[in-house]
Amino acid sequence: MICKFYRILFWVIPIKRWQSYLIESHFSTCARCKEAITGDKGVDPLVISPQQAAASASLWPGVRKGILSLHQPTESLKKPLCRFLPRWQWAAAVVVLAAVLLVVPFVIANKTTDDVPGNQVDRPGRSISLRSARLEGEPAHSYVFNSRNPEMTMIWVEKK
Amino acid sequence: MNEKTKIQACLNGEVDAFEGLVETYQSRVIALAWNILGDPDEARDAAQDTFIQAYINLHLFDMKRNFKTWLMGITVKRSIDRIRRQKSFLKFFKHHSENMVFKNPPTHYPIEESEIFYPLLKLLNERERTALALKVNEGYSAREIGTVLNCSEATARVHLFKAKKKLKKALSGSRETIFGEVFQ
Repeated sequence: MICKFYRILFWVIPIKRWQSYLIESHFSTCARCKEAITGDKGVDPLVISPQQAAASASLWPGVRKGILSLHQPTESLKKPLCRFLPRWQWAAAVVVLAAVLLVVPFVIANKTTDDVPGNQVDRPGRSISLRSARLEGEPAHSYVFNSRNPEMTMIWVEKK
Repeated sequence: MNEKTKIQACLNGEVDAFEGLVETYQSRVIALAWNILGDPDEARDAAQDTFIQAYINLHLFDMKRNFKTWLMGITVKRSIDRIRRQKSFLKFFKHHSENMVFKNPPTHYPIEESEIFYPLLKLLNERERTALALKVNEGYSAREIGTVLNCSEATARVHLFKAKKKLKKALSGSRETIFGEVFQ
């Protein structure tokens, strides 16, 4: 009877948590239902047993390889840099660095002389500006275009 | 050399001391992964991952605890991760495969398409399969299953119950509800 009551409760509220609670609470009291589960051996053959899995080859070679590959990068990082480079490479690196340090100041100095003011051949020598413009007696918009050529300036006037 | 000594040797950097642990537990780990994943090749890969992860995290293992239970917990996590990856791959594949032409069709299919998988176990979700495998193969109690699945004893018992009833229903071919079979 009590089992039927639980069954109705199970169906009335189809919420998983509630259903789980019902199953658990009922099994704590109902020996018959508990036996229905714990005494069930019918499904055991469906489960793959360790004996079936044991037929395959050992995992150890793959596991060992995986573990060692994880260890290698950390070991190499621990090695000091000087171990990687032979002495002649260190000497070559020092020579290259010294050469760079000598050349850089010259390059910087040349660049600064290029930027000295007064050398403004390309720049326009003068500029024109308009205070106001009129077209057919009416105020108009005006635009002045200063070109790179100091001898040429364009003026555009249009109706407002 | 007993289990604890082997673990201690591994912690001291002796990689080869881990071989004994792998040999002892590999068939159990593969069986559990196989039950969860449903494919023997996938299970072997998952088992290998499990042992590598176990070695990396060996310093986190509490010597007072049971090593097998700890290892089984890692197996479940690695296997469920694989299922998730398979599912997301399947989703991606279905989304992008409409205009694709495969010269060599993919040979590996996610769990739903696997022919090797036992069709009845497919009725269960991964937690139910795990609970059942641990109960049947290892003789674990609900409490131990709960430890492996990282859930309460009661929840583990519910997983176990649902797994057994679903299978029982499928085996008997009954049209009655799973719960109805018990509460008759």
